Amino acid sequence: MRNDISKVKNIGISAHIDAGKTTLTERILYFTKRIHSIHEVKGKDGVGATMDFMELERERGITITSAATYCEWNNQEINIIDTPGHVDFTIEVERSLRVLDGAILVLCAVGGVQSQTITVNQQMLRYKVPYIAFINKCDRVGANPFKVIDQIKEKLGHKAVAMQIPIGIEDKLTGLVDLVSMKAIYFEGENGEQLVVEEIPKELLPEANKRREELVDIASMFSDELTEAALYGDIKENILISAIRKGTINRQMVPVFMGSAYKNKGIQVLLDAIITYLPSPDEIENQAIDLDNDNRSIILSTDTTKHLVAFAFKLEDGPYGQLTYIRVYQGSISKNDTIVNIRTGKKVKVGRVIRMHADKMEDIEAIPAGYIGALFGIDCASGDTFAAPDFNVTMTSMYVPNPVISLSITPKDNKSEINLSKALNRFTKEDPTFKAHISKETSETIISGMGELHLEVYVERMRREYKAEVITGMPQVAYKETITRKAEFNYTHKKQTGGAGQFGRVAGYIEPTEEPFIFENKVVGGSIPTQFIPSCEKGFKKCLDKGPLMEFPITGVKIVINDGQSHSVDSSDIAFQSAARGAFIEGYLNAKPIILEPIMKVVVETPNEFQGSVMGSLNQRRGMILGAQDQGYMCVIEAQVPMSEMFGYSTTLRSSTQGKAQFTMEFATYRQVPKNIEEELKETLSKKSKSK
Amino acid sequence: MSKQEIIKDSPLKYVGYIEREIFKEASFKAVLSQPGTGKTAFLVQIALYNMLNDKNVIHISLNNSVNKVALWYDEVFYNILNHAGKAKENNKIIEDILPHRLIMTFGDFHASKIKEALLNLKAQNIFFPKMILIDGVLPSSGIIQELINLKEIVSNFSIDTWISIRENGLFNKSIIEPFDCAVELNATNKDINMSILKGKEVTIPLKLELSTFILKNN
Repeated sequence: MRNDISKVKNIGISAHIDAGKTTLTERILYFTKRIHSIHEVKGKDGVGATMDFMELERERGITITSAATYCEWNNQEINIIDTPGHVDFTIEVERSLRVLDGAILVLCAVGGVQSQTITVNQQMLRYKVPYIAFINKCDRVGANPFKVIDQIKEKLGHKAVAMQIPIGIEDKLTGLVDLVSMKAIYFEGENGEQLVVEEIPKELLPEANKRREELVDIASMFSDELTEAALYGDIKENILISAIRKGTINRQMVPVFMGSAYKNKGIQVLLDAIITYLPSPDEIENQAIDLDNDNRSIILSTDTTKHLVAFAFKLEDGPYGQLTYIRVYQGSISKNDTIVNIRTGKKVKVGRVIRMHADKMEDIEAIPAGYIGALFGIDCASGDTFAAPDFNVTMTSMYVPNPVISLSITPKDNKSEINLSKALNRFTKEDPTFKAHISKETSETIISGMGELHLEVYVERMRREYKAEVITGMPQVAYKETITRKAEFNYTHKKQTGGAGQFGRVAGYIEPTEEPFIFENKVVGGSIPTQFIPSCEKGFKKCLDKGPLMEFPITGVKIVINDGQSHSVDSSDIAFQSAARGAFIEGYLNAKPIILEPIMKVVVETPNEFQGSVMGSLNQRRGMILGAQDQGYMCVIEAQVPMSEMFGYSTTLRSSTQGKAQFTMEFATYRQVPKNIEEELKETLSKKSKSK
Repeated sequence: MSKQEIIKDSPLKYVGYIEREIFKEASFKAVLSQPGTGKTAFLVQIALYNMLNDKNVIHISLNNSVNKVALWYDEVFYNILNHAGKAKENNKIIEDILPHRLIMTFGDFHASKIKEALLNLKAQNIFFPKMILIDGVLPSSGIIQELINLKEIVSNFSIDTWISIRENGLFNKSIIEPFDCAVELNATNKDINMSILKGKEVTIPLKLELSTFILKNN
């Protein structure tokens, strides 16, 4: 590993499902000579693409886990994180973006900007990641890269500008015109390895001139030198490149490249673009929070002699123990160093330091600032910060959404039970949106996550990677309870059953709030002695786990206590906790409690001929259709549908559209359950409690 | 604050005046203007008035994406509540009236396409509109025949219709012939004036605010 961060690029590849991320990564690795043969994602040779290293990913043709890998191009190092495209695995995408300095947004030349592209774009905005776009699949029937550029402008609101124009399109795609050098580039040889540079074909010259003018127009907004050069009609290549680079790094323009990864067209030029237009780690400002200094933000420097600050963004369990993917922001991590996990405060001694290439690894001496690498045998959770001893700083945490669906799992035999706990221990550490707990009532193991597919994938991984055979229950939706109006309570808890008695009176009111829970003490004159106020709060808090209405967790309540009574002998911590519980139930039931259910934003992309049946299928599932967008041959339908109604929707959609439609789903909000559904839920609950 | 109170205390009362008094008998209506002078905002105010009256509205846009149309609703509704001094109540009310709205976008204007969409919505029991708004119709050679066809279709479905027409180079006032009534929006330095091209004259002169495109009277 060299130590010149101006020659390093940490990049990610993000896209909508099936836009061709994994194929593109595979080709990048092939052209940078990291691999010596090409395998397809759903290849017939049964080998699969290098980045899709999990057996399950290969089988489904989707990328689930981001694998970090690196390659070299033109004497520069490129660290690539391959990111999953499905919304259910969004936390993986977010983690990857957190540690990247730049990205490639891959779009399909036929599908253009799709629902997931919009989500990924928002995530890049959130983490301020500059990116270039690559319009893939220009060899496909219906490919129209310029329509896609218009969509990037309209739907994503970016100043997108073509850097190339295709020579031929669909099956006649032979090369590209580079609008910076104004040369035609052809990709010849068996796998397009030989670049042949020629003059632009005459028939393409007017189009090339027009598009170059557009490029210069936009780029000149970032360079006075270029504006001046354009006025005199003498634009030097390096001036144009530096203006485009500035616009890209400042996230004010998106240069758009094109080609076909599958047909090996445009990859080498894209690699040049990564080197030319995306920033190196020292060009990006990264911040950390100084915990010893009022949580002030400090700017990290890529100086390797400064105190270490590193971020664990991914964990994996391999045959040699836990592998922790790490990005070093400041200082460096070497073998035998002692570092501190800021979250736990524990000191850790660094063992093996490695660099990953998909599932193969290479031992290295150190990871300097700006680089991505991996450590062995470090106990931590993903999202943890590591720093030098006595340097108490943390990287800002990532946004982690709450799970919306859960599933009970029961191991089939003893061996599976042991393996299951190992699997759960690893998965919950790896993925903060995947949670597991033991139900107090049924003693079953419950796993929860962001969607049906999310949980399905983990159940499959338990089977395959840990040989843990499990029986899964019906998926359960994460319902919640809340109140809709203010109500008062005045409850006395009195118990005299021989021995020490219990006495406590708690009065006040309960009202709706936007926060999950607020407790306010307005008791004056000591009617509840100060030492029992925390007991009251504890009593109220205990009630939140299981609502009196239907035993779902409670959210959005504010409790104010303003009066009460105590007894010099019989009042105690327990007595006031019990009084608070009684008071809560009294107030809660008078505050018009309701049940809330998670609502998902569902976006279906379907050929127009199935628009009616898709809308019908969403409508049948209590969906509220928000809009239908006509996109020529295709149509995009957006709806809000209760999570509980979305089970098995992929099968329904496939059968009603001959497999031509696809959908994405993400959590949108919580909304009140309609009365009839509430009745059904109550019935199910009472049947369940009778059968106990 | 009830939905009716919002209407009463906000500029939506002028929509009530337009719908209930000026164009009481009309069901096929047009609003015309130059680009950027408030046609979409005008239609959104008509839609919000109907949605607050629990009537289902389909908003068909010919030049904007679904998200952009939805943003127009958020923006106009916020401004309206702001006028009524109730901007904080935005979220709850919009959630309440949202089921009354369906946004659709089409690449071009064809009466047959709209008929197909309406038949689909009816056949699948998805949405039964009381009103259709079609935003961004461009004058072209065959446009009058398309409008006549559409008028027949919506009349068979008993749906009130508002269409916004962009005044471009091919614009000719004969385009208003198929309509029961038509208004024109004209921008001045201060406001946007609303004038009646076809239909009953107004007793209360109406304008649109230049910055927000919200209805107001003189």
